[in-house]
Formats: sequence, C-alpha cells, structure tokens
Amino acid sequence: MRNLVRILTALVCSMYLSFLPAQTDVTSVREKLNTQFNKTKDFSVDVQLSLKMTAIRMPQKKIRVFFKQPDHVKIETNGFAMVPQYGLPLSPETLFRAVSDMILVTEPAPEDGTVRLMGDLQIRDEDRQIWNFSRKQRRALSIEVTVNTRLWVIKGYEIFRGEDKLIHVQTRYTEPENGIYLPEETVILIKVPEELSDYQPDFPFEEGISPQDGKVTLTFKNYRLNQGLDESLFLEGPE
Amino acid sequence: MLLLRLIRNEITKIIGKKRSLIGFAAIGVLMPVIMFAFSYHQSGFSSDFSRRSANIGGGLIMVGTPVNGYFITHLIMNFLWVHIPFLITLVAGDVIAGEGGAGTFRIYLTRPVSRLRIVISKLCASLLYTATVILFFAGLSLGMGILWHGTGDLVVMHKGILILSSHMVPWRFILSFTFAILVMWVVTALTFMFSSMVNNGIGPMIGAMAVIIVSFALTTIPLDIFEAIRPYLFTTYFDVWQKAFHDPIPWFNISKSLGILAVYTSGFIIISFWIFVRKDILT
Repeated sequence: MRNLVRILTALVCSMYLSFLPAQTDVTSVREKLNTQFNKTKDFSVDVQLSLKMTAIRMPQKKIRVFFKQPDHVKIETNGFAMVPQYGLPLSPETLFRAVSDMILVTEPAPEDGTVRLMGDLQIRDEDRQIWNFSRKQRRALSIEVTVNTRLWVIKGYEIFRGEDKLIHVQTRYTEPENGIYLPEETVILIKVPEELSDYQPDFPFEEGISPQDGKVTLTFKNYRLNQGLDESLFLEGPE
Repeated sequence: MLLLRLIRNEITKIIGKKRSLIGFAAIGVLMPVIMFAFSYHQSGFSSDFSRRSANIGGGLIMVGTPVNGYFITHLIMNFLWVHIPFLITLVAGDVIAGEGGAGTFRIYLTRPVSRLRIVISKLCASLLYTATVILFFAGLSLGMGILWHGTGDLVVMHKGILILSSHMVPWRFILSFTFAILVMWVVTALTFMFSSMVNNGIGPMIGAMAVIIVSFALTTIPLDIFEAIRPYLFTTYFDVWQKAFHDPIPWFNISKSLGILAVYTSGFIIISFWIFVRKDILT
C-alpha cells in the first residue's frame, strides 16, 4: 500500500513537473507581450477600414482610435461604421483574458521566430464590445494565437468552432518609434457557417441569411504615441 | 392655352376645399413629432442595431450612430407608403364626384369646352396635387431631418446591411421620391376612375382604399395560394421606390414595375374618360 502511494505521488509529481514548464512558458510569453505593449502609455491612430462581407456592404471608412493603458479604447468616426474591435491594436491581455486553459503548441512545430498558444475562447456578455457574437456563435470556441518572438507581438490568431475556422486575424507591424511595434495592417478573414447565422424575423433581410464570408482590412496610419491622453476622453466609452 | 386655364381653375377649386389641406396638415404635424422622438431614442436605436448585427456574424460592433436626416426620412417612407394613399384619395375621390353631387356640372358642361378637356384638366390637377403632397413630404422630412439630425451615410436593409455613402444618398432620394410619385399616381387614377362613376365624393375614397387594402393584403400575406395572382395586382409593384436604395440599382426590375404601373394608370384614366364623356348628368 505504501509503495502504491509512493508510485502515485511520483506520477502526480512528474505530471505536474512536465506541465509546469509549459505553464511557465505561457506565462512568460504573456509577460513578454505585455512588456512590449506597455512601452506605449497611450496612442491615437488613423485607421482606414475596408469591409467586404456578404451580409454587410459598407464604403471605405476612416476612423480614429484612441488607446490608453491599461485598456481604455475610444473610436471616433464621421457618422458611423461597423468595426471589428478585436482587430484594433488592443492590449494582449484583452485577448488573453477571454482565453482559458492556454497551452503552448509544439506540434506541428511553429515557424522560426514564432510560438503558438492555444486555448478555449470564452466570450462573456461584457466582452461583447470587443467580440459582438451572438450567444449561439459564442459557444464552444477555441483560439490559436501566433506570437512573433523577435518583436514580441501577436502576429495573428485563428478562432475555431470544432474544425471550422470562423475568424482569421493576421497583422503586419510597423515601428513608429524605436523599439515600439504597433500594427500597420490587419487583415481579418471571416467565415461564419449558415447554421451559426441566427435568423430574426424582425430583421428584414430580403433573402434570408446565408453563410457569411468576408474580409476586413484595417490600415493604420499616423500613430501619435504617449501624448498624455486624458482619461476623460474615454469616459463615454466606445461610441 | 385653354387647357392650362382649365387646369388652373381646377387647382383653385382643390385649394379652396379644406379637405385638400388635411394631407399637408397630417404630414406637417407628424414630421416634427418623429424628428423630436428620434432626438431622444437615438442611442437606444444604435445599440439595438448593434445587438441585431451580432447575429450576422463576424463580431463587428457599431461605432457612432446610423441615425441622421437621411436615415429618418427613409424610415418614415417605409412606414408611410401604405398610408399616404388615403391622403391622396381625399382629393382625387372628390374631384368629379363632388361636382356631380353639388350639381355644378349642369352649368359647367353647358360651356363651349369639350368634356374631354374638362376631365383632362381635372385629372391633371389631381395628379399635380398628388405630386405636391409627395414633394411636401420629401421636402419636410429631408429638410427637417437634415437640419435636426444632419447628414451622413444611409443604412438600409438589402441582402443584409447595406451602407450607402453620403454622397450618393441625395440622388437615391430624388430617384425614390420620383418613383413614389409615379406609384401614387396609380392611386390617384384609380380614385379618379371611381370618382367618374358616382356623384358622391365619399364612395370613391372608400372604394379606392378598399381596393388598395385588399390588394395589399393579397400582396403581403405569405401564402402560396396568392402567389399566382400577385403579378396581376398593382400593389405588388408599390415598393418600387425602395429599389432606388438597392446596390446595384436593379434598373430592369424598376423599369418592369414602372411599366406595369403605367399600364394600370393608363387603364384607369381611359376608363374614367370613357365614363365621363358618355355620362348623363342627372344631378
């Protein structure tokens, strides 16, 4: 009996020890991403938004995004626009807060200079300002994040539901100031299958709902860093 | 020249009747109320729109507000295009039948002016009144909307969410209101036809509204049994004004709808001319 307890304890310890480096790696990746992002206290940027989706047709829009640490965001536009807020340069923690059971992916081996993290994406009601998915669409989502370990920025991420890839976000970075990397262009590919599109009779679609495919391109220009943006600017929240 | 004088004469008669002002008064009262209401409900409307757009997928949020003068005008057009016909029938229903009931035709038709000219002048005056009501509606809703809520892109529902760029919206409205006038001329012609048949102004109004309501019901009730008759109902094509806000504009579809409406309008007019010219004036 005593031997059995010893063997079990050894097994549990070995499992824990094998799990610990992975967790340490995830934590360290998050820390390095945050350290890089926290180099900027605040910024504003002009964004050209091009949206081509089957269910939303919108002319090119110009918006201005204001950000202040830790997670204050304000978006200004002339009139209005449909914006994928998750494609904006937000703090990495904004993304990771919604991810649980995150692990480092080693198979298949990531590209040189990158690491991949994987976990379950759990969007709560209060996160809908960032991920405006219906409850039906929010169920059973997973996420795979690719991190550039040379610049310590999020290179891209993919959101899955089972085998279906719903969202693919890919970002190219620029260096507006020495050692600070912020997005230059983000391309979002969206593919929502028909069964996830909720039909609402009071939403007068002429031809019903079909699978929603689309591409959103966000081009970032004129970064103005560390201007000392006042918190009152963000009090109204995103418009 | 004589016809122009006759038309002016008919317009003077229409203006002289208080019922002719009811349409303008109704629109004049309703517009400020709606504009005022939108000032209060703007944010609620935006968040509701954003919530609904979640169902499309893609996780997009709405920034800013879709509510502006163009948006409100488009929304009012959506609500009122079923009700405006009633305002039209008030005048078109009375234009011949009213004079028949008052007994003025007995003197009027003794003048050396052909009946055809008289009926043409009455028709022209009725069509002009209809166009004026629509233009008043357009001017007031767009004018007040722009002054009160400004301009901007227009959100419409066409195969999902369609956002029309602000620079193209005024032309779309011109097109749309032109189509709306042509649609309402069908109502005018129908009421005018009924008006030529009787000597009481109320009958043509109720008759025309009854035809329109029944046709609307058959057009909109989603039952297969009505599918076969829908192409033959003029109300099926009443929504042609909405197509001015589609992208791309379905010109073929619009031409077909307007062509069919023109056939109906001409038919109603020809029947009313035929009845009036042959009519015995007994009152």
